[in-house]
Amino acid sequence: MTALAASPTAARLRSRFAPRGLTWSVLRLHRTALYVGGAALVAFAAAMVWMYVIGDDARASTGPCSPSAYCLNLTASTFDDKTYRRLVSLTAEALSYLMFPVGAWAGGALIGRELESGTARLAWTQSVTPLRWLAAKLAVPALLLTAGTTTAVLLNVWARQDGGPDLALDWYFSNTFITTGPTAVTYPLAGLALGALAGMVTRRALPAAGLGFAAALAFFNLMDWYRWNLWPTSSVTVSDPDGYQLPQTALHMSSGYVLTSGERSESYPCRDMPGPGCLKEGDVTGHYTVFHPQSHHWPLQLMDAGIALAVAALATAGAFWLLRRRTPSRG
Amino acid sequence: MTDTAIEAAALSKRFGRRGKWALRDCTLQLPAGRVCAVVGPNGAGKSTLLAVAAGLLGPTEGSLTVLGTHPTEARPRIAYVAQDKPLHPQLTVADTLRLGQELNPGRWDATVAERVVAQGDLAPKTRVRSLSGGQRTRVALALALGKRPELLLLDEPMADLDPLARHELMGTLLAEAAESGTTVVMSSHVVAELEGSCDFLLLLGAGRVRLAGPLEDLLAAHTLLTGPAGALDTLAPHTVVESRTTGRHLSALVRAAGPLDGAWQTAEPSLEELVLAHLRSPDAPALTLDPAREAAA
Amino acid sequence: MVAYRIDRRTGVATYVQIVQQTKQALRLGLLEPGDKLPTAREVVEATAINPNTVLKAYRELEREGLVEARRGLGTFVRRSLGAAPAGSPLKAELSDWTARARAEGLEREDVAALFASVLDEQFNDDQRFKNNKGEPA
Repeated sequence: MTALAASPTAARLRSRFAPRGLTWSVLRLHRTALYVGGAALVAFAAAMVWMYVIGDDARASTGPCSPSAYCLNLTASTFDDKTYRRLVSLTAEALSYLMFPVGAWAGGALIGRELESGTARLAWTQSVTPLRWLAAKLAVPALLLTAGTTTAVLLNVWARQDGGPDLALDWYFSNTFITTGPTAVTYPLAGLALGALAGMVTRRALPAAGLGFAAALAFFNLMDWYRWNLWPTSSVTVSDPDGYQLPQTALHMSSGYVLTSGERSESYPCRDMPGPGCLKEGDVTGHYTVFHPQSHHWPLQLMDAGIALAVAALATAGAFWLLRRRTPSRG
Repeated sequence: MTDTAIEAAALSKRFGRRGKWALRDCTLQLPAGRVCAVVGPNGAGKSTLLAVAAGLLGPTEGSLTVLGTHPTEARPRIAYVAQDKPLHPQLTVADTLRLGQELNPGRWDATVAERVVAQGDLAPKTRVRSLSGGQRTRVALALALGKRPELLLLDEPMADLDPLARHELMGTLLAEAAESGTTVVMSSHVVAELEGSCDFLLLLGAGRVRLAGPLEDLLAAHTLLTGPAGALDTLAPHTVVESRTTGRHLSALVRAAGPLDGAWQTAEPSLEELVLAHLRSPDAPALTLDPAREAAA
Repeated sequence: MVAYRIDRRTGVATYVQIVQQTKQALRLGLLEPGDKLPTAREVVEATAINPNTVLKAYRELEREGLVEARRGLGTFVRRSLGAAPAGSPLKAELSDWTARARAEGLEREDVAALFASVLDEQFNDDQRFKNNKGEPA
């Protein structure tokens, strides 16, 4: 993005670093997307600065709520000015949903339209092989996306400050999770690759845009369902029948009772609520809680990001395989 | 530069595993420096042949070499203009030429490309999406010629153009190609637009080569006869491509194997007559004339 | 300067048309020694005919000694083609013959057809030979 910045004093530098060849062609052909992406980044950065600025006021009005103590989320109702919370959730949504438009764009404008209109063949009959063409088509947006989302996620982490959960939502909320680590960078890359594969498969702009969007959506939801299984959970067993008091920062997965047989059961003891199938008091020896402590944030991030990268790599390989199969090469 | 622009040996191309053969057993040799017309009805395999030569499609069987090498190796030395002249609608004419420059490093001749565009009174700032059909073709040709190709492949370049634009563009094309010694191969199903422009003919029918050779030789190898209907028998020693009887009057296109006996009025056929006679008689035997036989023209 | 007009329906080979039209221009005095013929590029651009055809015609004219190619400069007329002098015996003979034909009751078209057929008879073999061989010996 900075490569296009025009400055009359830097003519010499510009000519030295001006994009050439395929890079120039990708940047020029998708100039609109580049401008939209740049504008979105600027808007996001502005929102982050604003969030940082009003953060202290918002924090002061929520009152003390230690992360180690269980804290009922009542502050939301007492906090009159909801600007901060809205800003937090809106920006987190925008950044975590970025992979959908990226997938649609990659399928439609980047690849599908070029195959549909024949302009891909136009490129392939210049002095450019189809494989180099696809490589540039993927590498240039991938680099720009990486730079853009890295900037965005760093700004986000900075603007959230200590990430006070009552203000900025806990780390385990989907959108918070995606926008506070490397997943923010890898999801759009997966969207890009899935979109490109959709473009290669359909060879039509509109179906490819739809398929790219759908593939990104499917990936996003699968990850949402299975994300917490990517790292072993922690578990605590106590004899206190009221159970273990989880710190607020932990993600509660499941809890229940440990029976004399050693088995775990999520059924309730009969003393609370007698009914068919309830547990006899004598059978219960303790109470267990399964959870992800906040310390799992990073291993989970790395697993999640790794899977996104693997999907991106597979989709990219698929796109190249299709292209190689359809275009002749020597030997 | 090699002497042979395109050489195909038993080239066959089929789309899909059980599809129809688009090209079947095509063997041909096109010498460099020619302007070759690829003629045939729709579906004869013209576009497929050009796409194989451009390195966009691979043969199913057989082989095809371009400028002495594999088409994908010759990519920088070939230019190709597809039938629908795909261009990026959002680019200006100037940006389209810049694209040619960026994608053909070390080959691009901006002077040629700009000259071709300027001859059409096209403002460089015009967006491609607002161009007329003729202007679009001109920009596509400028992009192809700016590459200074050794071989220029044009798929139905002049279809959908008005006669004036067609004539102008053909003139521009041939002049620029002649200047750089470019071999031109253009397909068409309108024979009239090729007459006079081409010196090599390739007639395809149902994916097979029907006629191939220097145009003058092919025309000279055929004779247009008119005479009495009863004299048809005397043509037995010759190859009769087509004969038509109207009352007592017979007209025929033959490949004479020797002197023609009988009361025939003879004439050399025109390109159009030659092509039409072969198209009307799909069973007439194929004829390939070795380009090397002809003295250097 | 001459402008060539190529007629694709006549059946006369294109290069022959260029040769004939150049000679015609020489006969009529439209081209004189020292005049420059249009470049092959100009002819091709204006007529959309094959460049080799133009070059072939120019070579034919050169072979007949009518023009000469000067490297890098173009093709120039070397000598003019004098029309048959007005007072030549050939013309007198033709004039006599035409008068006789008219006296015998032939119409203008009859005379023209007769003359054309004799021209064909006398010149056509030569012409066809050239066409078929491509390059004249």
